[in-house]
Amino acid sequence: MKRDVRIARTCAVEAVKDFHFREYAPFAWILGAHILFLILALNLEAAPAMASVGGLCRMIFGRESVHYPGFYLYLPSLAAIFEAFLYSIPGAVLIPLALIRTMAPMEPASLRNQPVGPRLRSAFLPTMVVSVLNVGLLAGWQWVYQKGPGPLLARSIPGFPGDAVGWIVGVLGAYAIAAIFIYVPIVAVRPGTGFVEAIRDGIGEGIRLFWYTMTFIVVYALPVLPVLLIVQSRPAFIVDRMRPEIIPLALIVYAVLISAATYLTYAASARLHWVADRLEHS
Amino acid sequence: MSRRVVGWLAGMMLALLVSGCGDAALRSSRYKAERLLWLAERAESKANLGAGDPDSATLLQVRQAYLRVPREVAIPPASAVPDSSEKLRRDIARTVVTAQLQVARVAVLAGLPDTAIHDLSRVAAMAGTDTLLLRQADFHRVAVYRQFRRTDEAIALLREMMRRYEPKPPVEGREDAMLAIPDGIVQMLRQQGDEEGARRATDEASDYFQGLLQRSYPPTLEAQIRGRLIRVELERGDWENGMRNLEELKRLAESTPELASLKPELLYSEAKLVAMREGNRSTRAISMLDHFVQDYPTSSFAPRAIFESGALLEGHGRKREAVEKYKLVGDRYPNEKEIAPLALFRRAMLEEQLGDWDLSKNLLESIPLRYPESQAAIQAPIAVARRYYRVGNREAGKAALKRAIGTFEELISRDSTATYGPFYRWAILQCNVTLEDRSAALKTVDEMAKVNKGHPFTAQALLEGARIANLNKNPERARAYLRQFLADYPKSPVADKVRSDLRQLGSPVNKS
Repeated sequence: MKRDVRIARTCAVEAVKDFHFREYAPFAWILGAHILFLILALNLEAAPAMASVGGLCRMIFGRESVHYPGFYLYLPSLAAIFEAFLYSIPGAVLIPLALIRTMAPMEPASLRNQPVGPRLRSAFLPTMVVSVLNVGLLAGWQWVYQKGPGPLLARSIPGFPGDAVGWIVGVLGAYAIAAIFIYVPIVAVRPGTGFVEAIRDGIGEGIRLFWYTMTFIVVYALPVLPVLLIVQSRPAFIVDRMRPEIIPLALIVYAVLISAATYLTYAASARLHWVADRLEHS
Repeated sequence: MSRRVVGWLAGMMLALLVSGCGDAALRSSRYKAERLLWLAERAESKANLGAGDPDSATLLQVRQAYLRVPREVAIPPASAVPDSSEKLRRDIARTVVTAQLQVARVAVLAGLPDTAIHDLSRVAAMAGTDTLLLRQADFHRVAVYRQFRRTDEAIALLREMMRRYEPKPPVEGREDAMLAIPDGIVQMLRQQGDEEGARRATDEASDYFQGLLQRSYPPTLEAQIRGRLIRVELERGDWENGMRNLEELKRLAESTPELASLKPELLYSEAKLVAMREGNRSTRAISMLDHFVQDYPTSSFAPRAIFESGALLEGHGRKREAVEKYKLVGDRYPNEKEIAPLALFRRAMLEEQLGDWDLSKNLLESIPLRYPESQAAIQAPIAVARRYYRVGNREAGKAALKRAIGTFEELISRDSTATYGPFYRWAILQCNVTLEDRSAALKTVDEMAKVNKGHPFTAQALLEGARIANLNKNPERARAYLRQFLADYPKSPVADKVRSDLRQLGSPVNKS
């Protein structure tokens, strides 16, 4: 057990120390799109921004959602939907690409020299399916949590601390769901892995390495949490008492941090998966 | 295959990007206008959060913040916008006009009435054919004129509005403000002490409502116009037309279910008309008014009905019963600022007649404290002094007049709207004249000339001041008052007499 913890810690540290932009680059594409979206949200006075982000907002939340400053109350939810889209659809190509680049030094030369295209094509579907499933389960978890345990927990401690505790438990639940699916793209990029095998092995690995993966997610996401807590739990306070534009600016900070945290979580999990694989074979 | 997929994805993205592009420019303009208005409102809140009221420099900064909206957001012309986007265009226009109205409001706060009027006149150009916005701007202009006591201009504009705008049907039962304009003019003239002008304005109001009834309106609006007309006719004592319109209104109410709520007003008006027809002999009107109060105790006409019943009883010489009615008004409707002070004053008068001077005096002295902004508050202290003079107790009368002066000075310091200031000062002047305290009287005249310039009572005060100065053998001061009178009231019917007085005092008169 002690050895396993040591290995996991080494994987986490190594993921940070051995950072290469080429490996992170696919996440940077997602980050670029995410930031572009938030910059457009910050500039709805421009017709292209109103046509794109404003149009999306009207489509989802109705025509009254694109007024100032009320729009900023909808923005955290709108940005969360867009983020889910980015990490599920373009992410189904870009995340496996980043994983192929991250895992390349760990793979034997025979695997490393295989063309990337077919590996991406076979990884796309399982990655997208589990991403969409993840989003669906996340929405289900949020719904169930909001119906009972969340408000109960928030009410048991008065004021902002109660809200914060309720929010943190909700986020930990969401991270636990993500931890189960994180190994699916890692397994899926292995040449010759089929759809069912990728899902089955990936979820199996997620369950086996659950606590380590969960630790990776929480540790890397620590800098993100305060930003997300304020934006998601007090949007009305920011809009009414401060400046509404703080919300997109905080969401830009969040986008940068979550991009780095997601990359590092995948990089550390890929390393842990490689070590677990070696140990199993030895 | 992959190229087709990429092409399809690119097409989808483009479609998403340009979805709603048709009115995106209008939406973004509206958003910008809302943002700039929000920023200006925030700047004003910040300015108001400081210690004390913001100074004029801060207010001008706030005004600049509001001005950014009309400067940076152009209202698109109606012809350039398709019908489907008309609502968006109107939203933009309303936000920009709201900002422009705020610009004017802040100018008022900064003490710049002419700038405010100029700001409001710009609204007409912005509003185009949007009558609602134009009316809103005009009502703001009236408010500005009134705040700066430019009553003549306010009344002129209100008359112009009566010609320019059609009244609108009620929204959720609320009457259109246009219908309140004629009564507003009458009230403004009364506050000015111009009873003759108020009487003429009542005649105009009658003509206005009768003119409106020549056209066809929805029943709810027609009922409101008739209701207003009946009230005007009651005030003019025009029994024939009042009764005729009441019958019309009854017929309309019977055929229109939405007008069921008019019943209390109809019953009250009928009782009033009966009282008017039969005069003080009417016991039928008393009975009708009493039944009305019994059936509709929460109606806004109920306090007035009790008071009217009391007045009729007083006419019958049934003083004790009348006292009970006036007492009932005070007990049930103490917050009715128009009727409650009148009822209290009448009750005090009757208590004195019934022999209880102590109670009468207590009631009279309580009126300025309970209802400072009322005509009764002005009459009550003087009524106490008059009673002492009447019973031959001059010393007590003088003491009461001095107390009355103290009361009026206290009321001036508490006069939140500055509406009653000229009345209080005029009452002080009357007290000083009765007390033969000429120097105090002249001091009051000087104060009125300075603070209540243009008010009809100030005109009378200047003439009174000239008379007192002559008694003091001070022709220079008398000339100064008369010259001031001619400068401030050149169209006064006594202007020629004043010019002749000035000549007699040896002063050259400029006829222009």
